[in-house]
Amino acid sequence: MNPHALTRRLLAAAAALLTAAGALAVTAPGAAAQEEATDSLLIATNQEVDTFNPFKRRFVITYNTSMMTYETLVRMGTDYEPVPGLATEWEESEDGLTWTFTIREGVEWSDGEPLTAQDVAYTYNLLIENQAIRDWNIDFAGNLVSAEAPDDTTFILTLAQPSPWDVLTREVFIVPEHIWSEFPDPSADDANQLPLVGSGPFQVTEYQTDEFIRLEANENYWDGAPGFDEIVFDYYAETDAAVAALEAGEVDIVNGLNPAQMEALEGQDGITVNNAQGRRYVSLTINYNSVTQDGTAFGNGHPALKDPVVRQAMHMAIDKAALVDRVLDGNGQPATSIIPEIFEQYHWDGGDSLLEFDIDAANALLDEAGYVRGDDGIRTMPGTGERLSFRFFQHADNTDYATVVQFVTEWWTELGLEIKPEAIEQGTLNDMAYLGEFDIAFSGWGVGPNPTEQLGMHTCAVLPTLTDGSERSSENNYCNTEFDRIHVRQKVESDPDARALLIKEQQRLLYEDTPVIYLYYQNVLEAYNSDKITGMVLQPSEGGMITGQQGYAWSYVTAQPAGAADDEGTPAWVWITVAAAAVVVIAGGVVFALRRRKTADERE
Amino acid sequence: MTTSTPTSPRALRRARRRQSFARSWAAYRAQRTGMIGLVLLGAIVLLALAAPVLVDESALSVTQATGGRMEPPSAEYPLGTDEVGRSVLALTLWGSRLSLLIGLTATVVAIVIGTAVGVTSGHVGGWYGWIALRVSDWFMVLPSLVVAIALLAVLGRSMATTILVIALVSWSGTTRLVRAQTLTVQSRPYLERARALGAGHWHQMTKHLLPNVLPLVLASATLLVPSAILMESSLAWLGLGDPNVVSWGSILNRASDNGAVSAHAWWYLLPPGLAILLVVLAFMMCGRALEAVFNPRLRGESA
Repeated sequence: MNPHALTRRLLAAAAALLTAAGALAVTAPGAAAQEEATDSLLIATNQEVDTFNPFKRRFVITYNTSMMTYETLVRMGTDYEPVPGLATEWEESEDGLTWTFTIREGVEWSDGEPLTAQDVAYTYNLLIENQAIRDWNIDFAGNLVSAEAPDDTTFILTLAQPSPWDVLTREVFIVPEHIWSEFPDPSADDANQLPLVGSGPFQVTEYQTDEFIRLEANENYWDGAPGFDEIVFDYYAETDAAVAALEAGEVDIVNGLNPAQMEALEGQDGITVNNAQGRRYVSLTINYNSVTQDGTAFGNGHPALKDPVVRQAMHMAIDKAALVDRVLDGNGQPATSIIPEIFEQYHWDGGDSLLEFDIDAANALLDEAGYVRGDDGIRTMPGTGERLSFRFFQHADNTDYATVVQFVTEWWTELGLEIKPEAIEQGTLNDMAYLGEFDIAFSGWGVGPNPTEQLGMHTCAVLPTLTDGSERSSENNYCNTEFDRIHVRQKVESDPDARALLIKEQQRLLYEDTPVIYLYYQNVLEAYNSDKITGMVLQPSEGGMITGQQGYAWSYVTAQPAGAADDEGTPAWVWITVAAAAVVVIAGGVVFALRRRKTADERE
Repeated sequence: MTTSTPTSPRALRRARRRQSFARSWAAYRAQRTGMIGLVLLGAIVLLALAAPVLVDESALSVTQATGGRMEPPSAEYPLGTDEVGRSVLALTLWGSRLSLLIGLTATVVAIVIGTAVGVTSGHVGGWYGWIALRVSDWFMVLPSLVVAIALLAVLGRSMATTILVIALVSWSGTTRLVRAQTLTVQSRPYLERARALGAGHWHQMTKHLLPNVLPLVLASATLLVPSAILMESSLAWLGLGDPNVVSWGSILNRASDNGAVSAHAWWYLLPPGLAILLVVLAFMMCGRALEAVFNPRLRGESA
């Protein structure tokens, strides 16, 4: 052999070995640290990150990371009441237009810089002056006039119109001026280089797409350092895989369980399941009014849906109690309107307007209105004779929706309607919905304790001005001047009881106009490793949830490590883990076409 | 001797065909696995056809389901129930119809495309043959499952698109096979004779080439059906099937989505899985046997 060639080979081999050793040296300490020295709270997730920019994000996962990285002036308490956060006190002026906040002293950013009222004023001024940030938050930012910090502990906010509920419950995450003022454009996604600097209990330090998001505890947190050293959101493509990981001790908190998984986890040693009333609604939106502000019609909704009688008949032919019972296994409540039962003071129970499930009565309604059945049993429109054939779109990745579709389709078929169900990818379905290219489609939102934001999505003011589907402020192009009039009144009403009455009246109007059929409020089904975690505070404090909290991450901040209890996975679960691994491998191979991610449906 | 000699050409042809069929049947019957496969397949097809008689279609209705949530097998529900209380046995029985239908239809479409391209490219040759061959090569090297998933994501989910997509990713193998056989037959003297007598391309292809490649096509089709059924099941299991129909793949998809694995509901996972296994096995047995009949080299010592 040529001696030069031999030398080259040896050199190459040595280089390869060195590289490998280097790689090991880099990874080994990290791995060791994670297992021994650091107490990690591992939470399973499957939602991609939209952006870490707290003004722009819309997904639940980034809501959670923002809520822990940053803080608000006023926190939402464990029973959704306003409690001091970065502001220790606040005062509303007589006319309700000027709010004065006293900013907490001695608070530091995670990089050690002091947090002052200047940072707060800078943040609120972003909402007022930065056009993109203002547009994303227009329902709130549109009402802001000025934000000033006369000294380091005083912050003064001036409004155009009184809006007490918004000021106290709107989550404006305070960002550090000394970092953000360096960004050329604070509204850009890349304005958020990791690690993030915030004042909250945990800061995002590392993110690997589809692998994990790591948040490190803020040791200098003014409210005391959290019990865990870090929080890691681990990605699991399938809930079954996350459940197996929980059983094997590889992940600590899993949510989004289905009844079968709950039952399997219930009563297992070291695992506590939590079945809590949720604050999300699931609904069917009906494409009955795709028009812009100036009345230009767009989209291709079926003309029969414009008739309130048809919508009402369809509403009557849905047995919501049966859906809760059969699809959710009882883990939810039949819905009437936007505000879930968990917010009792604003929830409307239907009163005298409540429709009973009655297919015969629904059929009679349609008969009376002149929708006669054709030879094929499908009703036709009076006049044009167009068949009542509706497209029914569901999110392709939602198992519950797939079952609901089967139930609803069977009921509606009994009405003499032709239903064409179709499962569509999340993103595509959302685009089609805002373009008005559907007849009936699934929707759903997480609702907060202040209903203004949700109700505001049904006002005439947020109707799109363009027909290209780019303006997405209106939930279903609902426009009713009576509804709008009450909406303005409830926003400024300071008496909670009077306000509740107005909000219930709004919901009654929505129910009777039926632009949307609200199906159910879904419970939060979650489980955690109670051998490892103790002391988690729930929201609401009685029978509340762990993973769906709002306003402040009470559960994750109060969680304490429960001593050493890191059991290895038991052999009984090996086959499940192997199956799960196979699922992950297959899913990984086809990931581009098959991203089973929660996107638009999981909005906050 | 004279009595058994047919006179008209048509009768002659018919007699020859009968003879050749009898010969093939004898060769097929000699293979035990082929016969087992055939019996198994017959039973499955019979069950699928008789499903509406055995179990009323209302058993598939979610609103009329009477069972509990994922109940284990009992006297009333021999294979347990699914998450809305429907009988898994009824679902599996009805699912066989769709799985077989999609498998067979997709195969027929694939075979028609494959044979047409194969015969024409082999017979016509020239630049057309070259291009047809390259196109089929191209389809052959594409990873079929990934392409199928991508196509379904674009075309939407329905039975028709599923059939189309499966046919699209599986026709190229047949093309290769048919083209090779076409080239072999093409060089035989009787085709030269036909050409000399003035036979056109159409006549040559339909009267001489096609009858000679068809047996091979039949064997390859029988082997294509199980892969089409498997493909349909994989796609449905991944959640890409038509959500409005019941197939074995979609039953598995619903089972895994609804936590049958975590709940250890084996009765929900096993029946459709075993059904897929049985059908694929039956088709494979028949296909291999057919192949051996039409390709004596595969028959080994029994030839």
